[in-house]
Amino acid sequence: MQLNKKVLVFLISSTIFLAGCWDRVDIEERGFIVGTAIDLVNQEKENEYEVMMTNQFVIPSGIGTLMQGGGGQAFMNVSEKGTSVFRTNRKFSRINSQEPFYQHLKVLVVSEEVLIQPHLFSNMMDFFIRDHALRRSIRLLVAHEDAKEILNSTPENTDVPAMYLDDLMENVDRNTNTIKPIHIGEIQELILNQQSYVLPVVRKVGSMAEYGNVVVMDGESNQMVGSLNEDETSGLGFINGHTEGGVLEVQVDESPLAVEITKINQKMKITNTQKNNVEVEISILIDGNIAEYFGVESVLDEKFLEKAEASTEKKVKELTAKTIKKVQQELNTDVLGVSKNLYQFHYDFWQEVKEDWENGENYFSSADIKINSEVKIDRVGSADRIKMKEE
Amino acid sequence: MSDFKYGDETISSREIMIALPAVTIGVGILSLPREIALLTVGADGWIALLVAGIMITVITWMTSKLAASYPGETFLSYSSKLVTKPVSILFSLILVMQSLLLSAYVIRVIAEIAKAYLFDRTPLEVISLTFLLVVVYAVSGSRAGLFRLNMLFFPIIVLITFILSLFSFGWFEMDNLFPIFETGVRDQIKATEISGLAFVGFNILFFYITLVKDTKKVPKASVHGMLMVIGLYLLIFFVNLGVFGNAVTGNLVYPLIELAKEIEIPGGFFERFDSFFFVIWIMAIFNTTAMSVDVSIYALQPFTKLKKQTLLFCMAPLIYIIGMVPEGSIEVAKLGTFIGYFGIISSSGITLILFTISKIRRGRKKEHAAK
Repeated sequence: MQLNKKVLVFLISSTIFLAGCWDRVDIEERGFIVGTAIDLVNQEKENEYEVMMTNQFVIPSGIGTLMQGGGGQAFMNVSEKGTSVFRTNRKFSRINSQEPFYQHLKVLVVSEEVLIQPHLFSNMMDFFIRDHALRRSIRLLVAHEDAKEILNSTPENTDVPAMYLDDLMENVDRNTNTIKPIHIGEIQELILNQQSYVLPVVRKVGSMAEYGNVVVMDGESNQMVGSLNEDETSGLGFINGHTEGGVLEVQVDESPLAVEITKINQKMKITNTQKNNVEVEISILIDGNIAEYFGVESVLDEKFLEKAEASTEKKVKELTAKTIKKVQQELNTDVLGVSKNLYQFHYDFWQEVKEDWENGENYFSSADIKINSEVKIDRVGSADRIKMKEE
Repeated sequence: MSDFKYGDETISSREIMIALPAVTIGVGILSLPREIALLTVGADGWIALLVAGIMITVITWMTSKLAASYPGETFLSYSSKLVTKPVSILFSLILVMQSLLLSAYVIRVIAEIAKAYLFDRTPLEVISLTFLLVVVYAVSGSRAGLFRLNMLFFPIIVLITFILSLFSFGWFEMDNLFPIFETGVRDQIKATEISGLAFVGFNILFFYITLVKDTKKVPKASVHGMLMVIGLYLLIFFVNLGVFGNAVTGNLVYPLIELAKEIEIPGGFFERFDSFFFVIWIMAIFNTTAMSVDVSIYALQPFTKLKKQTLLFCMAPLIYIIGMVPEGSIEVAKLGTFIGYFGIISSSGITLILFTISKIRRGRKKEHAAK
């Protein structure tokens, strides 16, 4: 019996540890945040900015189920102003009774105004990378205008804007000017590496959002220096693999032809490492299908395919040349990945030139970048011709 | 108890082989990729990791060779033959201290990590205590049972590491491993030193080999055990570097946990892989703690003449208090570094001293015999 008493005392005292659960939060009390937008309100002092954060909470009853449609809006946007992201986030608790829950945060939209300020972007990202509750796979978008407006885009077929944006970014292989989504984990890498990079843009069109094109960020100040248009973004995609596919429109004997790209591979090689005469060779291998043709030639003809391939190659060269010209002459930022290649395969040379790559002597602008493109058309669709030559 | 088939307190050399990685792999590897990446360029750190591992493997081989050449004898008994009794007591206490400190450190780190990632509001002290209570429960049972628990958990830990690596493939970029061979020699040596600290824990061999019946295979088994540790460490290191790149790995507090957070397995249930990973890794950490608490109890018993359980209940509060002493994560990290150095230097030192003396003695004996 002595032993039993001991056991009893142990069991009773152990209830102290079993009774409560410090971290229990009922699911009804949780405010699921799926999207966040950051806008600049004003600059208070040098290096001190007031930003507006907008959190998008999901209202589960608004979503409804498959059988029974939801009633009312499925989301709620709440904005707060402040200087640090974390404190601003805490401010939400003053107006929202639910406890904010970030583990399902999917999309982060940052307005261009934030990016234009030096260092503000990297400062804003700190919380999203540092906080344990947040996942590294949160996707980042840049808004040309107000970021919080983007979180209001609800086409008829969607309920929650953040989810809609997230799904939109899955379609990257459809167009050459949409780049692979960038997630927060990568942002840490980009900022730490101090090499220039691009971020994808989202634009509001009516009640919809349009994903495409990029803005160019300087690697040192993490400040936006410009943006690329549709063609330039496509060219960039071909050079460094940001793009997964898309469509190229070319002319074959005066008739338009649309080539659907199924695979892009690229290889960069630095052939000459002399400070003032860095030579870069980029070969781009593209596989494609014929998707649409307005002409009357037989697409099964080998000669025709050769012509089609040649004009696609020319098109790729044109697009990439535009991009190279813009980033070398106008923006003077190496978003092509030449500096990364130098760091990885010409480490000693890179140590010599890294101070003068984009600044100072500007070796990047004077680098000679050659593009070789090789296009292979595999498939032509299910029909050869749909109209005959006019006699 | 006596009619229980596996109730006898003997173990096989295979259990030693598994016990070694079970003790060694714990909290060290969670932050090790960061410490190595900070010192090296690209993925060069693998050289440091490999060199440190091989050096420790050699020492481990010597330790087990030494202990195996005195089958059935306890550490106190064979070491007093080689060095004098007082010295052997001193050695014994140093090794015990090492295990006690290690277990105190580990229960603290597991609480820190669990608090950061899992329980936001639960007090640190409660998490530590809960974990320690489970460890105490495990240690108060059969010692051979503890070894079998190692055998049970270890394959699961290896499996989760492989799954993690496999699913990281989508995020893995070969480019991140470049440039290669650009790290300076001094940085490599420093990185080797730091990597060595993650191999602390082989001091269990001094005591546990006594329990092995057939000691012939023990040295080979312990080398195999250490090689498993090196293999797993290298795998984790490469996957981390390949997924995050050098700069990010060097700037994440626990790169291995972040890796588990980064990967997402499509299909809902396993989407949150990190929670799954946590559960398994806590098993690894449990093994480390349970083994090091047990070995210190086992080594202390001859001095006290107390029952195992009584001694355990005396030591547990001590471990808990030591674990709660450091304030803040920086002091915890300092304690970790101290334990690493203390553990590696003392265990290696004791091994080298005893091994050399025993070799000389044996040599002399042979000479005598020849005469």
